[in-house]
Amino acid sequence: MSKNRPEIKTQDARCGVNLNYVIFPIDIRELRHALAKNGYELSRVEGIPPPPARISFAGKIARKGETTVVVESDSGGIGVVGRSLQEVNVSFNELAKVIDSELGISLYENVRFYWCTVHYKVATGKKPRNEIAKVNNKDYIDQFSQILGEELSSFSVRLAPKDASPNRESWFDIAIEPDVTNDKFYHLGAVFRSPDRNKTETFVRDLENTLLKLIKIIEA
Amino acid sequence: MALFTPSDVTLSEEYRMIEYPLLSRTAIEQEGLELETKQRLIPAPSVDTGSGFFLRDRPLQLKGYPVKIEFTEFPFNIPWLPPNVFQLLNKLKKGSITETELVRLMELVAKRASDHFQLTEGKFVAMTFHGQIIEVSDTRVGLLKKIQSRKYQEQIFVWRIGSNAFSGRI
Repeated sequence: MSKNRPEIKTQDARCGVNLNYVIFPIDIRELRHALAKNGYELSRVEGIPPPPARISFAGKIARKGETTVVVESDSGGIGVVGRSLQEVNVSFNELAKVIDSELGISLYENVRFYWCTVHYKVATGKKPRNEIAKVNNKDYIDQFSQILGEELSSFSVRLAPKDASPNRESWFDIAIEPDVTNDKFYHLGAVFRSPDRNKTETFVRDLENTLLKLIKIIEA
Repeated sequence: MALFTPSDVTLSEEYRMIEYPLLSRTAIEQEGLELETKQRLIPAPSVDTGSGFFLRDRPLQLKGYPVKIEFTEFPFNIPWLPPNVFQLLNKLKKGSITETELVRLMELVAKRASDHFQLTEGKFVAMTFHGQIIEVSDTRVGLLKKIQSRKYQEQIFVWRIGSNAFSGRI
């Protein structure tokens, strides 16, 4: 790791869309056929009933390269999981193209919300446990310490938009905490949801830099 | 309501009317039962949300089929391979592969395995033609020593990660 440039590793990245239909518009048999036709490897499964019976489906349905397609038909969700946010973003756009051209369904229309979640490990050369403790709200920490009879410090920084509800379509949540398995690393987790595609793409594009800027402020 | 009832459709056991044992019921229990019975008689197209297969507000179970398909994990020890690899693997199986195609096949599989397992450049790796890693070593000699006395069910080949040179085939 260079002294100036933090080391950032993506642990897990996923992005996708929750569609706003009463009945999930994608048929499992047609989806599998379309994906197989476009070079995706299908997950092994038995017991898919013949058409026209509809059936709910969920899980990792197919993979291509280092990304996996995930679906949850009951909630209307479809997306991809991979090793970097940029990779899953590209892969999601490819999936949308396949579904549009093969099944005539746009993943960019009748959208309830786009979503992405990502987990990083970041090393800056400093000890996250000590750095995060600097963000203490002293008044509260002193009172908490009194109650617990132990000197306390903050263990994480958690940021969310003011007055927004986590149970709504527009939401984000950024957690910055020490990695519990390696005290040299931060664990950074981000959840983002928005019905606005452009907003989602901007968030995804800027996220790594945004998170590094937040850490820089913590460590200043 | 979208509904299709093939002949092999039966109501799942849990949704059949249950004969309650002849035990004395409280008024609330009785009321609840009556309400439930009434509800079953009302067609409710609004609940046909596409989850499973519905008859009125009750899901049907297709004989021999699950209510929901749950997909599981992909095997991590074998990477995803592009369709052209499978064409070459078919040729390899039939024995109709040319030397150039064979090298191309190894190159493609090694590249995929390298990406999938995030292998370090310069390492010597023995792998199957499906990209499963058998052994890894820092040197070619070290790798050959590890694999020389072992028997393999599948053909394997040796590749130096990051290089485009064929290192050996067993």
